[in-house]
Amino acid sequence: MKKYLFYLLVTTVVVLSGCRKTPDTGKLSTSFVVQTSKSPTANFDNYKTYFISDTIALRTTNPNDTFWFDASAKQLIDAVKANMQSRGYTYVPKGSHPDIGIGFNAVKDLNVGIIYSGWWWWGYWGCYWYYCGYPPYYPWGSVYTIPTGTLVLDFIDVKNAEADNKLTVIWSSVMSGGLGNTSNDLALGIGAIDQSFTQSPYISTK
Amino acid sequence: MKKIISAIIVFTFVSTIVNAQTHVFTANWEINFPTTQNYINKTSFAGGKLEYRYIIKEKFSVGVAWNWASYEEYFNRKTIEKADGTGAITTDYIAQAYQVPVTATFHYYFQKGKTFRPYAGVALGGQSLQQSLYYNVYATDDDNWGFVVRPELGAFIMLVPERGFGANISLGYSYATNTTDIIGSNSFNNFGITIGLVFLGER
Repeated sequence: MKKYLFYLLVTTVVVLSGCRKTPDTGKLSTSFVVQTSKSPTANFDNYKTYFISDTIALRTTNPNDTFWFDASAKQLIDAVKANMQSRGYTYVPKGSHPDIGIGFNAVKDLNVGIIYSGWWWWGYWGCYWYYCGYPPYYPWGSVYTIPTGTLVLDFIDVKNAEADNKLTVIWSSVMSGGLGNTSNDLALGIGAIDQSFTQSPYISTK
Repeated sequence: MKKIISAIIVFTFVSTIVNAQTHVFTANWEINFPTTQNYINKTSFAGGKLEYRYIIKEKFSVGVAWNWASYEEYFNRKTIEKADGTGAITTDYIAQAYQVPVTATFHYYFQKGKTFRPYAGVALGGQSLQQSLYYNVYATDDDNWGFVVRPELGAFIMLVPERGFGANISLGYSYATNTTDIIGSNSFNNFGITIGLVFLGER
């Protein structure tokens, strides 16, 4: 009986090797996650004009960061303008009573997480410092920061603000993802803006 | 009186011989095919089952079982829209589910062959379902418990009958009331193939 229990134990160890594993997230796209929402009662063809500031409201871990207005910010704003134009909307200055006011916010956050040492070598089976078959082992725990970026676009119903006595957000897009994974984070932002409009075909003057 | 005591002793002895193999241990590898719609469809080869059965009347046994299975599937970047059309999300993602049912088992054995012993059974109990979605650098979790029922058909194939050692193979279906909020599902279901070893032990 003891022998059988030994077999059972060995088999158990083998079978247990199939337990839950952390998936290979390396296959995930670096493209931002794009989430859009719209007011159920909004009719976008009721609006013809819009205004967007030439600066982006910025929130970071540095409290002195309040506005983002360099060339990168301009490219992101231009991407919004290009999409609005393609949907039939006309840009007007703030003082010309636009139908839609577009709020544009950026949040650059640092998510701190503890990642066990050496995880990035998992599956490595090459040679390292003349030692083959052994992945480097880090005998200490490490703390890493994964910078993330979030862009938020809000369409505010300015046209009916006085009648409704409130600034109703009729559409919103939250675009977020890790930064620094590619050589061009700006392209991720522009791509996310384009995707926001692509998945919102109802944004149109027609 | 002596005759009665002798009869009891003889009866007990004979009963012991008849029910010589009372304890059943199985250790198994499981292949599972999830059937919940609009969720993970990829076959899981990372599963297992440990089980103990106690034979109570030659053709019946009761026992306990502990299973586990890990499911994982990568979904290409796509746009998922809310049913009412007011929202949409675009991303690629990895869906992962880890299923751990702990059940009481009941089995009926169709025959007591020396080398082949087919059976039908059902397992009832609770199931932990740990679900995660990984997308970009984020992850969201949805863990819950549900009731599970797992009918199965299988057989012991005794490879070394005199030592109570053999193979176990079975086909089963699992229905569990675990929820998956992201798809609005109220059950997590799968077919399963179990392949393993069986050890029949004496009292």
